[in-house]
Amino acid sequence: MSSNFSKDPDTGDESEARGALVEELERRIEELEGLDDAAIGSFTGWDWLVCVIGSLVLPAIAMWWFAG
Amino acid sequence: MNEAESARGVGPGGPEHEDSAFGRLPLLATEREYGTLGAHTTCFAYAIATWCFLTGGYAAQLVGAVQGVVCLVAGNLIGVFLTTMPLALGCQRYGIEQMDFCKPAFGQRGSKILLVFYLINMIGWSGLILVMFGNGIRNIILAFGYEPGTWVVGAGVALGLWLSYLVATRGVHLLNISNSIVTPGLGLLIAFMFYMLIRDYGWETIAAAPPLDPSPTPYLNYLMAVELGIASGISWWGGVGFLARNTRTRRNSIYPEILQLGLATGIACSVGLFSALVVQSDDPTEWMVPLGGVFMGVLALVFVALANVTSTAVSLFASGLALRHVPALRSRPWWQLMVLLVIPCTPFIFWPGELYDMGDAFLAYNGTMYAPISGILFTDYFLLRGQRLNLWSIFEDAPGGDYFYSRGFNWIALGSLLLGQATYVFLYNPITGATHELFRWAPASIAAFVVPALVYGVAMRLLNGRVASEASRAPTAARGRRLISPNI
Repeated sequence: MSSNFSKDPDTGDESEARGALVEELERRIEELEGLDDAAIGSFTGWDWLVCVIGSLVLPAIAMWWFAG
Repeated sequence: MNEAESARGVGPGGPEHEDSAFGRLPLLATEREYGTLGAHTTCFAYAIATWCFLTGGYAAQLVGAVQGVVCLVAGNLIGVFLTTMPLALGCQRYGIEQMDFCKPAFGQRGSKILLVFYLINMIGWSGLILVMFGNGIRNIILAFGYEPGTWVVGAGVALGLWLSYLVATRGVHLLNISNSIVTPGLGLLIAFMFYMLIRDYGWETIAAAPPLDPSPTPYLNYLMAVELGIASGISWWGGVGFLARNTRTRRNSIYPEILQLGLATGIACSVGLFSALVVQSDDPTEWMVPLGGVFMGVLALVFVALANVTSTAVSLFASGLALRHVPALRSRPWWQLMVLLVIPCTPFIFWPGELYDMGDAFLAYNGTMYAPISGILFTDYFLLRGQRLNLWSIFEDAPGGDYFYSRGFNWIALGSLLLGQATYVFLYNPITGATHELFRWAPASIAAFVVPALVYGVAMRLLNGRVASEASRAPTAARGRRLISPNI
């Protein structure tokens, strides 16, 4: 386990709980780093286009149009 | 629920899922709560809150109904887009919350500086909402024919603060119960207000109503209202990561945030704008009785007061979670964190009117804080790192980690952040209201987004070669790897 635990002033129970937490963190990092991008859904060029037009270009045009 | 239970999920020691859902452990794909409907509903619950009334009221000081709707809806959409894209896609991909997402750009310790901005934002909003709570109590008493002194507002702020503390210290469960009542109720209230406005006044009257306190220069009023709309959208920065990390697909991390936090918030703010213009007051608690009559008005005021307590409790709760990033506060009891957060809100008890009047400046100040951060994160995540982060280094405090930079700070990002804030204030000073000639052509929020984004991108390419190689790297293949100094 990580070296800084030996310097930890926590009680034995707290230190044990922290050790378990770090182990759990490492397990999750390993799983998420190895996760295939497709497993969390796609966001394609079309999605970008829709978002850019709908929430950037059209609002900017509306603002310019109504500036009077 | 006792204190230990209420603090569970905001620090180590609780069950795994609560630790990951409400603490800092990255969420696995199988643990994410929100599908399409869940993401839209939760974002809607965030979007429809009493601060929409405040924003609408502040916009009514500057512009009329038509220009106001454009500024609020279009501004919110633009602001949410700029702040959401990197945060939502990054937090969703890795299941992390946003302070952790900021570490690749700002450094392990540098990201804690952002925590200060975040807390200022949360405390500022809480204070403004509590003054609305105090004003609501005063207006309820007025509706019954009594004439209370203005001290009632300050006393109301104190009462609201105490109630919010009670709710926030009793944990997520009570917050969820209050939200499940408040959100649909507020949605109904906004629909009811809109119905009454159209029925009693009609669109022609609303559209013809003059702004409350415009400056003599019409184009400046419009530009400041644009700024208000964009800053309102950008100020969602504080909530985006938490929502996105809980979604199951990338599209669900983006579309609900844009549609609900951007569009729905803009519409709700617009109803506030119409009410302020018709009643000729920017104080939302003065709208209810004229719009709904005494009975419905008082009922609405009581409901808005309840909603204000819930909103403040949510802000306190989220700020408490953020404070868990500070090592000295990581193991402190939850109630102590809440007390720490309540203390900075106390000036609102003594100077409620003065601080409430500075609300529009505060909204613009959110732009100075979050526009540069959003620009830097945009460049960092999409252009420099190719949407690929090193999760090991995010949770690694040892100096060898990729995101340790110089003593934990990435000075290029922090310098760009300062440059962005200076750009904003150069174009538009939200405290004094002074503007530069260039403000006419470049909204301050947009300039404060673009300038630091460009400077940061170029400087990182030139001065930090490590980041360039990181973008093209394959995901870390490190089975059996261990963290040397985990920062959880």
